[in-house]
Amino acid sequence: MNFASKPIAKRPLALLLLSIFAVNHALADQLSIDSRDFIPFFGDQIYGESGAGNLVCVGGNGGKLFIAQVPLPPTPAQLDIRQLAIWGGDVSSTDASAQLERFCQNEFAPSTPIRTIISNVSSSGSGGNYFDAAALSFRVNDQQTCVYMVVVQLGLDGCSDSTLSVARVRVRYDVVQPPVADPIFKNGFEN
Amino acid sequence: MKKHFLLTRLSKHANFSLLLMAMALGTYSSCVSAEKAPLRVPLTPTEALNLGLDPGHDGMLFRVIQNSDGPISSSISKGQTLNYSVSAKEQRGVNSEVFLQDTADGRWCAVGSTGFFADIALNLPSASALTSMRIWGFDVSSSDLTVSLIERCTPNNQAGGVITSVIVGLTSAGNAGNFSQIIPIVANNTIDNDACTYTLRTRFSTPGDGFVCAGTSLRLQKIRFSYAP
Repeated sequence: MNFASKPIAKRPLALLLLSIFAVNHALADQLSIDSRDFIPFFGDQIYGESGAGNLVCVGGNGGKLFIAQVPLPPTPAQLDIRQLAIWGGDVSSTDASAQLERFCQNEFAPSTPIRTIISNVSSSGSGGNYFDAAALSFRVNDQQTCVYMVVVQLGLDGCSDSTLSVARVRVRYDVVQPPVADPIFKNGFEN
Repeated sequence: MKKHFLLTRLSKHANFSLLLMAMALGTYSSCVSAEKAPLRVPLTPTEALNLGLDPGHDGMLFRVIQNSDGPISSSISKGQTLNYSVSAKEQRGVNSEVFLQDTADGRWCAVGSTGFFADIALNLPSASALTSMRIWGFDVSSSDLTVSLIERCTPNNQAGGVITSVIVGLTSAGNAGNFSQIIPIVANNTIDNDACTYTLRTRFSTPGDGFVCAGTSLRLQKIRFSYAP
């Protein structure tokens, strides 16, 4: 019997394996940036940790901006960013926010970085633990010329001490075009 | 008639497939629930302080129990795991009172710092399973350094407190100079980037040495993880 010619519907094992394959190869993915990954925007900023281990700024008039790179999969992966989310603690009269930004430059020549603000999420009120998320549909296919960053701001007018913190920021995305596993194979057929 | 026969056979196969899938899923879920249940114990206040965590955050701090006879990377066949190395130069002080310095021989916490913890973010692919952590460093100090892999999770898509779990920790032993040590990771070792973050916390002193850093005699050089993708 020629097994290969048998309809797939008549092969339970094949159906099972295909089902498992489909489940395990979902294109949705995500990455989380811990508060401990953020560095002060300015070198002399005073910062610390809250009791929950979240990032806080210290000193009423100190710096309130912190920044971390978003380690998105590199080219040739093509992504659709679907969500920006933030968690933290807020018992302050002011709010915390996280802004997803892109900085792009010419691929092979000197150029001034061009900044694009992609999305923003923030705390509201002062009820303690907070969560905020923004739905997005933002195509990323420019990792060779752009870097993606998250800028966190703790307080509007000045640093708000341990009453306002960030625990983590998450970026969810869909992988539109998975990376080519074998560039030789790709070149052999496409170049 | 023939068509009816074919449909019946197809239906039987489909039922069999569904049965197999259900069995597979059942086995998987029972494995997951069996694996997760007894693995974490609350940190004692002393353990929390030794990790730079606030013991007042009681009920949210845990330690994962690792089975000491788990496989280490050298016992796993080539090709089954990948390696991911992190340089100590990526460290950021836990607060702005931690003064880190480094050379090619490693990164250390300067004497005079009023904090002695430093962190590195660990970015590994979702769903990969860690199998071991190895650290490299330099120790000619009477003090020791400890590197801990810390998981921090929040409720998914809603506000809530951070649940912190120490997955594994390694402490330098002796003071003979360069060292390298490894520890297996067999429990709570699947990366979940949707709900959690992973950081490496280094303590540059032995608990009980007071609030000091050991200085240049105690350095961290590199941390390497083995994982199954």
